[in-house]
Amino acid sequence: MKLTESLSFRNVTGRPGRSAALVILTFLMAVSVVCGTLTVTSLRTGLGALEARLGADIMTVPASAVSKQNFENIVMQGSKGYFYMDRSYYDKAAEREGIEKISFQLYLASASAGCCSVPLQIIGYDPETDFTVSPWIRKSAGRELGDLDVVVGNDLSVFVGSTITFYGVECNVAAKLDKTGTDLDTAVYTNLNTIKKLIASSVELGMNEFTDIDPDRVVSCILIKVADGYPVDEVLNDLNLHVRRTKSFRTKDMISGVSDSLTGVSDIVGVLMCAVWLLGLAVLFLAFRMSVNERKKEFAVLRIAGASKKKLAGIVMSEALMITLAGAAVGIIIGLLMMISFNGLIEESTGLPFLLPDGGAVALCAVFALAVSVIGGMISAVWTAGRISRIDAGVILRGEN
Amino acid sequence: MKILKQRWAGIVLTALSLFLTIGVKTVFAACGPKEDGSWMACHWAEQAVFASGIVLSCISVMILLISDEKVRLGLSLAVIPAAAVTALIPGVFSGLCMMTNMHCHTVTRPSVTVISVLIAAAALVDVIIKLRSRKGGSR
Amino acid sequence: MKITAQSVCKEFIRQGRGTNRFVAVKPLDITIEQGSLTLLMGRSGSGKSTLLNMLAGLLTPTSGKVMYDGDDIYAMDDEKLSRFRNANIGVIPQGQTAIHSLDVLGNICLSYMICGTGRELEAAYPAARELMGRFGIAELETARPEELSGGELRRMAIARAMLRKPGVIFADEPTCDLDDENTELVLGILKDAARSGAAVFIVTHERDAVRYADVIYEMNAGEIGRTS
Repeated sequence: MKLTESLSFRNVTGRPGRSAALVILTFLMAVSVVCGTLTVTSLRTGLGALEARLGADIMTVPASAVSKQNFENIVMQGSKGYFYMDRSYYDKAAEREGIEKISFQLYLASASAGCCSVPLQIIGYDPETDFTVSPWIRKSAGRELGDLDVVVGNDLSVFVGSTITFYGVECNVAAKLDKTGTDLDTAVYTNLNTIKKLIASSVELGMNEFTDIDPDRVVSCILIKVADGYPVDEVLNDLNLHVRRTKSFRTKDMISGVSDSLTGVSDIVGVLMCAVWLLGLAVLFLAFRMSVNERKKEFAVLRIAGASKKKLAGIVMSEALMITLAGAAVGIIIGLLMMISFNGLIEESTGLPFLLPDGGAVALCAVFALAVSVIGGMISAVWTAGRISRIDAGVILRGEN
Repeated sequence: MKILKQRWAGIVLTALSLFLTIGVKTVFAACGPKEDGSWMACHWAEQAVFASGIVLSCISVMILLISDEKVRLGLSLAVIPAAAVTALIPGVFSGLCMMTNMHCHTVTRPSVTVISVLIAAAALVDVIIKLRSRKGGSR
Repeated sequence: MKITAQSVCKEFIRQGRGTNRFVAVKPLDITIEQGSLTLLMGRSGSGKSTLLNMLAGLLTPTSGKVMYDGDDIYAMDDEKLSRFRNANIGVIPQGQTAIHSLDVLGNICLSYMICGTGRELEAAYPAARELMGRFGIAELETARPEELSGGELRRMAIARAMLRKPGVIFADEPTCDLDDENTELVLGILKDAARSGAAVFIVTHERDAVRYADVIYEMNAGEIGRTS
């Protein structure tokens, strides 16, 4: 029999008000599940991308410039601040024990980037010693950066091959990086020669708050990879003790703040999701029960017209299936539409690394939400179906005098 | 109840279109002017969406008020491509700001996309229902 | 079809202080011949409906057998008995029994909707329309049950029970809450069904129905007696 001619379908469409209410309920369940799982997955993906991007075990910055709080900001929020220290600190740090690799970066904030009034952070790295950024720059650019080449974060909508001007110096956009879901996505990366040129130009134009720096003699941040067999904490303490007027941090510690709040957010989302799901389940259970109870007599009529017990249970179950399937499908489509459209807003407003996973994982979330909603609907209908299959048509019809 | 059954499309479409038109100038407007008073690229996308929103609102109000079934069906059909094009204005037909973490990328574009898609979907559902009831009616 | 009940009896267990058994139908024998209209009369609470439900395959007797042309229907499993009911037994229950999500035509074709393919359902429409014409509800084909009067609903229920041309038709108070005109109409229809070969069994306390009956039983406190 065609679906539209089946009794269940007519029962569902014949009562648009009741059906719509139940569809909306499953719709809400599906939206909460798809948004919840996608949020948790995106936060995990974001944290993974952030860890991969940071690379170094220890970062050292001038003590005068930072407290831990805003250093975390530099990494996480791409704070537009910048600072310098003499290169001798770098040489001193390099002499310490337990260091496998050491490199440095130079920071600069752009005054204005062509179109938008918000300054960008420009990060210059030393191609000879770098071990943190060049691997993925090489990956996205396909080559080493030449002078006046820049690699831009994913949040900058400039095309590869176009140019971008900082302090009157025109640079070529060589590549665009993958998204991390943090403000690192608005950073611009360039090699040492280019950043020196930019710093010099900014000083010349009087637009750098450090008026008397020599780009060849300064560094902003020292990046260290600890050699195998040395505990990171020991090397860290050693650096803090012996390289004076600098402050060293474990990059893991900086992420751990993020990772803690991320776990918190994930937990809250998970609890909320379960609550909505259980509540929906309970309401659906009651709704199915009520909708069948008020139709007890109709089911008795079906029974006398030759419906077996199995058939009655089947009718209840397929009504539930149609309703939950419709609600879940619409809910998942709308949920995905919202999450994918507004992921930038979520990232901005939570300040957490929020990175949508790839298409496959998103599809998996959708399938999961569909399964959870439909299974939930089925579970809440099973009891009613069992009950209705045991009704005694004779007794029900007799009782209606 | 019967009115609701006949006019739901007009009501939903008018509400969404008005929200789009007014919202793009208020709740989810694009980035404001730069310090020197000049507009950024996204402002022109906002203007285009505003214009398109006015058109959608007018068509929706007609769907709400006109009683001729055939005319209503035609108007609902017209809403679908108009809303689809509106969804594509920010970012495709008209550029936005350079940094995708800016307001026009995080708020304006997704809001316009979502509302436009909802408008197109509502019109599509209305068209399908109208066509089916024209074809059906007898068993 | 000939129905023979052999010492059927029904006891209900009443919940209350302790369990006490309540005998609704005391062991009795009854035979319903095909082509005849059998009337079962009696006060309410005398066990008439219980007996009808047992005979119609809707209520398993506490003891005894119900045979249709020699087959014990309560020996069948639920699936088989349901199919048997669908094909051979038409029941017109007490009260209003419309399926509210279906129109009148859908309600009448219910038995095909439950057991049958889409094609069989389509094929049943002409017969259903024919019945509706005979019962004077032809113009109500696409009406909803809530738009119908009591008499129209009852005629719809009778058309539903008769659509498959069942060998046996049971009617429980088919004329209750109907006016005289509708009562005549309904009893006339049932009498016609009996004339065309079905076994018709009616439970009623309508005295006028006696005129249509071939056989009349009287029931009192679970016991049955033939009066004519």
